[in-house]
Amino acid sequence: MSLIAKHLSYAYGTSPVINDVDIEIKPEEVNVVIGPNGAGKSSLLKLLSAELKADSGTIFLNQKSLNKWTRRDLARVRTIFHQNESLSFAFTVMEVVLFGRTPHKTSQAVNLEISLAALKALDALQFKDRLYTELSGGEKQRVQLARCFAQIWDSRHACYLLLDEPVSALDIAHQKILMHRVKKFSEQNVGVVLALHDLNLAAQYADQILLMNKGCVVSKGSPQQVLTAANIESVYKTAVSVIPHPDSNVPQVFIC
Amino acid sequence: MNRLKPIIILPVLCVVLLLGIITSLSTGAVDITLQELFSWAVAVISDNPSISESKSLIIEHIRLPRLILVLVVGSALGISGAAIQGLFRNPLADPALIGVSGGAALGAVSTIVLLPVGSLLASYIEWIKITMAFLGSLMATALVFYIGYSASRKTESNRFSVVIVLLVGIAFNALAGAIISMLTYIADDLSLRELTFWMMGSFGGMGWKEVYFVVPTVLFAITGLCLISKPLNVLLLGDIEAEHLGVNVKQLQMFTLLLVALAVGASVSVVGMVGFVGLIVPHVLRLLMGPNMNWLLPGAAVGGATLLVYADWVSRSILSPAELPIGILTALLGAPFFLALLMSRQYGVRP
Repeated sequence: MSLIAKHLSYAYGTSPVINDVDIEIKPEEVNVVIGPNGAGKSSLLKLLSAELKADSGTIFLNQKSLNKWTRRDLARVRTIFHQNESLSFAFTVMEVVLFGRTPHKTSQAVNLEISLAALKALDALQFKDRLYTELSGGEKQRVQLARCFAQIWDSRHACYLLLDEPVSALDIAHQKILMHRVKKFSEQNVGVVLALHDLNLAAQYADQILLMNKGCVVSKGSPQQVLTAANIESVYKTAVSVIPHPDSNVPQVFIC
Repeated sequence: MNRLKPIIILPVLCVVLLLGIITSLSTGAVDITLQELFSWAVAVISDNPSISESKSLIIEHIRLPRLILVLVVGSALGISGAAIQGLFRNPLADPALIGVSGGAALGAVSTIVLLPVGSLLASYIEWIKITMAFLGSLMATALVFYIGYSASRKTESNRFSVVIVLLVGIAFNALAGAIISMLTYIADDLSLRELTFWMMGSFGGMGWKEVYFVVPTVLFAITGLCLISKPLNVLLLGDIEAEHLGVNVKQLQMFTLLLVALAVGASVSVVGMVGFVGLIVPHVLRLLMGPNMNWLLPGAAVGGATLLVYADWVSRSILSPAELPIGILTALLGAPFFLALLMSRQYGVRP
């Protein structure tokens, strides 16, 4: 059981954005994709979630080709968060999170219970009755994340959680809450892929880091293996110093 | 914003509608009292006439078919507005935007202007007009969807772009408007008068024949739209989000457009242009009870019927024995009410 992509390539028109990428997402693993703007992080997540169709290469999800999954079956085992939400109708927060239960045939009582639990997991329970349109950016982001969580909350199969820039609008307290919850998901047979810009957050929570540049994965491995000053300087073209974290010893990156 | 519960709003709306129905049946050239109305209803059930024959004929052959048509057309316009606003995720959208009424107008106006007077066909002109208008509305929607869809395929990742379909609809309406203006320009005085009245909408002279055509079509469409309320809700999150939640977005978009085209096409082809109902009714209900389609779609059907019953009643009474075209009234009553509502409540939808 895993999400495996081989020789994945994709181009917008004539400009290639993903170039021969191999990736394997195992359940119980937190994978973090890092890289400069335009490196292909979002496109990779879109390909893995079947939002975009690869020009070449194969993707297998739980031993079955991604093309052969029905939309609904797929919706029961993987969820994706991305930032460009466009909800402008005044639903309550609870209604928004309940949408996450759409693909499931569970009872309304179960759906409510799961939605409440998902909101609680992201410290958003206190605004469950407020209108989504009246929330701040960070609060909206927590609600959308709760909706994604609700989608795979009770799944018994190997599931996948794909999050594109999930911490962009969150304060450090909620970044920590989110990352802890994501880690907990990974312990419950969920394969996680996060696209992050915060290298230090990535180092603290990732089991595997994929460093992307110009559509290719240039380095892959544990935080210690990938987050070296040489790797980061060659990709980001920025001088950095890498220092071990005082408590956990994972590498922490500082701009020089 | 303090939202009201649909479980309160909907019954209140139904009571208001019922009052409208009774008023509408009892007022007209001949007044029929409530008691007479009641005994007529009893007579229909028990087959034991206790109301004068002339009055029962007025109810059965004039007021009842017209009332049914008013109710059904009102629900069709209301629910279609709610569905289209949801589909385009735009509170300013209106069924007219997908070309359905423009196409109907094109069909009807060209029949009125171009069909030679005195020819053999002229005696069937009413039905030719209705058929042409209905076909025009369906073909216009198909065209707007087809062009909109193929144009969005070139720009986006194989997905139907709401903005492009809206732009195509606007372009089509401009084109239809130009052709109608041209036909108006060449029309003789008699056709000119007739087409002007058609563009204002009217329930005058409607009978059971029209009911038999409109009611099954509209009821089919309303049932269909209510059945897809759940995926239409999810679509409000965004096309991509809906796909990730297992909704077949393209199929849903096509299905919704087809049902709206059927409902609005059948309605306007018979009664002519009745504006504003599709725009205002879903808005008012969304302001009162929130955007949830499970409630909004049936609510907009009841709300549209209610607005139109009262508008029709006023249109018959205000200039009695003449009739004011109903399209004038829906805008005249609807617009100030809508403006007042916008000013008095905090608006739940960001522009």
